[in-house]
Amino acid sequence: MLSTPVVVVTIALYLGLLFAIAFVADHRAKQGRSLIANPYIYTLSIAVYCTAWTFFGSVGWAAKTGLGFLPIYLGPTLMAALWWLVLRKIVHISRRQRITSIADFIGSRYGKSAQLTGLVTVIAVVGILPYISLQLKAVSNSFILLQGYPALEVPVGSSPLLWHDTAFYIALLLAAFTILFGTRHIDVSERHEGMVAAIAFESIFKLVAFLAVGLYVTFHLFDGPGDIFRQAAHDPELAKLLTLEALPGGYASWLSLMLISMSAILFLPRQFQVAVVENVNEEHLRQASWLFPLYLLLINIFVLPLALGGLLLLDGSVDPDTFVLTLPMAQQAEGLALLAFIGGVSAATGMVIVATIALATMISNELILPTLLRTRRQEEAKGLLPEGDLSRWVLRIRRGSILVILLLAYLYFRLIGESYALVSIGLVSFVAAAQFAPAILIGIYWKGATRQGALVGLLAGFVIWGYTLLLPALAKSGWLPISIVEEGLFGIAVLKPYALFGLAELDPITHAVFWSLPINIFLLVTVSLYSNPSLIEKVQAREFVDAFKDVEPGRGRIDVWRGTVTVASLKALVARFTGEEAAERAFNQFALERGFNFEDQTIAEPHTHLVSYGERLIAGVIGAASARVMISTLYKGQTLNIDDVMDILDETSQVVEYSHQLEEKTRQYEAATAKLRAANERLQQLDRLKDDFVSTVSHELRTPLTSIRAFSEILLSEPDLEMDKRQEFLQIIVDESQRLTRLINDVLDLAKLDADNFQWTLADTDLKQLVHDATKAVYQLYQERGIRLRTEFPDARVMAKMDRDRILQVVINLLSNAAKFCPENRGRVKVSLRADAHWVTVCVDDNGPGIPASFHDRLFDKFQQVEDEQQGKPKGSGLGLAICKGIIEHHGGRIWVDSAPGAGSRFYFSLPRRQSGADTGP
Amino acid sequence: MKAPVSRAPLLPFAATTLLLLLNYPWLSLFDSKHLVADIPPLFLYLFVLWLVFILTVRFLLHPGPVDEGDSPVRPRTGTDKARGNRGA
Repeated sequence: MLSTPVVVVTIALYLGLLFAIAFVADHRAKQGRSLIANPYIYTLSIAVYCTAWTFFGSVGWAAKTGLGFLPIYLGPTLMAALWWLVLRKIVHISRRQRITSIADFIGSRYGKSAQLTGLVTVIAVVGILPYISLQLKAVSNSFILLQGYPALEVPVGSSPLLWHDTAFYIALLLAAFTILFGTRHIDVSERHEGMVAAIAFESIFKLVAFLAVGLYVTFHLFDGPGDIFRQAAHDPELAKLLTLEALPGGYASWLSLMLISMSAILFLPRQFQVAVVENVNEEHLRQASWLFPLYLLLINIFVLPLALGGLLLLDGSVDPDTFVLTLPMAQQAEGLALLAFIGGVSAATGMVIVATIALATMISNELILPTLLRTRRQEEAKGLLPEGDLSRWVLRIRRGSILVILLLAYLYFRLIGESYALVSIGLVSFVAAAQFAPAILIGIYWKGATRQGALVGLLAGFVIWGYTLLLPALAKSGWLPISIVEEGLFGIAVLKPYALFGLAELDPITHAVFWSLPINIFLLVTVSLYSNPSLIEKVQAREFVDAFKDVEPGRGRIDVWRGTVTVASLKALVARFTGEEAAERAFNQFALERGFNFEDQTIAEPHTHLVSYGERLIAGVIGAASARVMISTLYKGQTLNIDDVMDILDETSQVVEYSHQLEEKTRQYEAATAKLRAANERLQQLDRLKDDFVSTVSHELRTPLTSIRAFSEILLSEPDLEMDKRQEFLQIIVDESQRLTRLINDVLDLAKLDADNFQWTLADTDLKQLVHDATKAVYQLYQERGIRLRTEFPDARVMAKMDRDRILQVVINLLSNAAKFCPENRGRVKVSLRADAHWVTVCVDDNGPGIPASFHDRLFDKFQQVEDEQQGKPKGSGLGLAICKGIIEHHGGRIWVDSAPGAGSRFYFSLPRRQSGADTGP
Repeated sequence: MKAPVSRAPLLPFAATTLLLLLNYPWLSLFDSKHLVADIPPLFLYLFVLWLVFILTVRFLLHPGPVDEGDSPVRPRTGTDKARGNRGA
């Protein structure tokens, strides 16, 4: 059953099935009914992490180190927990920036630097080659094993000639398959739905195949896992595998493997491809964060039982890396062996397809295209590049790259790989990919990271990786003198690649990790601190770090392109890369979203960001760095070189800064204006009050003046007036003059009160005595009008602190008012004095006409007088009560009235007694 | 209804805890050749811890359905009803 034709046909059928799945998925994607837009397919596509290394190598490694294989899967489990925070941000940024690969991501973060993308591409290609060669080795070894069935060993001997080497044909087959898969067409977003669907299927297949072998060995060949572990525990050699004793490098190695696999799950180019570039929806990360670790757990649960089972059942000459295959073969379980073989093929092809597509995208977008576009001037480039549809041309570069990558991987396998175990080969690639972690992680959280810092850090990390891992591998394979490893470069002991500067206790991988990563990080940070980022770097740093601070489209973004470009020429350029149809669609969508009409607007003006949009579309096909060069060709005569762009950015950011300052100033002025307006209103109000006051006062002055003048003129013009008439007129003149004097005194008092200009002489005063004095002062007036005045005082003295003269003025004023308003000869006025612990209160009670309640409030305002319908306007200035109020309030007291028409009036005022104790004197 | 509070900010702490639990000295506690129920203690520890962590991450990223629990929802509806009655 395991004859070569059967195996070949099975492979062909399997690959055909894959192709069908991809075809259906692509077809569905075109119809808009995506097959892969769910978290489960997304999780399964991330499981491309499990390659032939996992499928075959883990068991081999477990056979040597026990549980030492596990950190490679525990690291990703740890990282998956952080996906929601870290990977979601990376995915978000990548979608906005139309990132096509990890090189594009790093390059874009650091100012779309072509240098940096180039370096990342080189590191990725050189670093990942060993990993791809590992897959070739695994597939070709398992194929040879099946061919040799029932023998369980790969025949040893000199490497066969190229055209007899299975691995060579496998490399070619995989290249052809990948080309068919990944480069059938060019997509603006660089997404490959068909590929993702196929990878997801492969992930299911390899899991099922591995679990089948695991269950078969554990429960069919043995009596469950307990049986295997029991038997192993009896063998002192195997018992070591149940503990950490067998682990080379101990806990340090355990930790370092965990760390590099944490970064590998994100930053291996193929993982970046499936997790970031192919991500359909950020929400899928919510499920993938726990589903993917669950997948890892399942695929690892039988690894140790299989390794122990193999060691217990098979003889020592069988390579543990082949246990998954040789255990069923040894039991003549041919169907299971074939399933295991195809499972291994699925694990290997999945990795090879995604990794080579990712690398080929990088090589074409970041290395070949920029070089072509840069070295030749525009005119020459036009001659070189065929006019019209450039997308076919890009595809050809990609296909070439895929072939070259697989042939290089084959070369690595032939030169070096044959002498290493699967896992050791893969780990070399992990350390290389870990070098990207600082530039990306620091780059998306710290705006200060600069292009120079990233360049220096990456370069240093890569050089250390090459020196501590690649160089010794070449030496061990005989391509360089082995003395480099044993004695150090040029015989200098501190330069031994596996024990740099005497760090000798670690295994090579841990050793490389602990040298390269800290130096990478240190240089990235320090160089960043001491270098000045260009403006495009600052712009990009902000775009990346603040990715989740949502900016409205067009706001806060700076369009670096200036000058005139027609929409038609831009669309034509985009169409050359994406194809007519896709360009038409993309532009229509833009018009729809932003409310444009390209028939009215033929010029792509800077503020519309249409040119940047076009740039991103092109970047989706050929990468950011090349897209910039292509767009710049549109600006022909007006093309800006990078310095001009920087100047524009500089200018723009200065303008932005300046406008911020202006806004701030405007705010300050607005506040000042509001204050001024309020002050002005207050002044106008005061002015009105003053006018009212002046007009009232003049009116009040004119009345007595008029009568004085009139009577004086009579006296002057009629000298022989009768004596008693003359007497009467003179009396009137005197009265009116007194009234004038009173009025003027009142006005002056009031003015002083308002201006707080009074000279107050506060002293302890007996209020009883004071009121008594006041009644004496008004005695004459009361006598004249025949009004009876009664007093009602407490026996004791009533002491309070006050200005005696002013309070006397208040009491006299109240008493005179009462006399004025009482009916002549029938008037009754009572003045009373009460005192409690805190207040002294004086009340002047009359039996006058009373005051309607509506007047009570206004009574104490200036020039307010209650007119009596019968008597007309009363005598007085109308200022007396206003002055009283001013005086009382100055003392901290209160003055009020209680009155009603026909019920007399009671005027009260209260003063606080500041000195208690003084009131009880005799 | 009370808005479900995101538990995602706890993820880094969960990951840090796991990182500590997966390294020295915790591992050394289980590093023994004596089988527990025929399973090596280290193997058991690592896989059980792994599973627990997976469930933890699931819990942290999926705030459970709020209206199912014995929940702060119920007293709230009570007050609403009371308020309605007073209004009527």
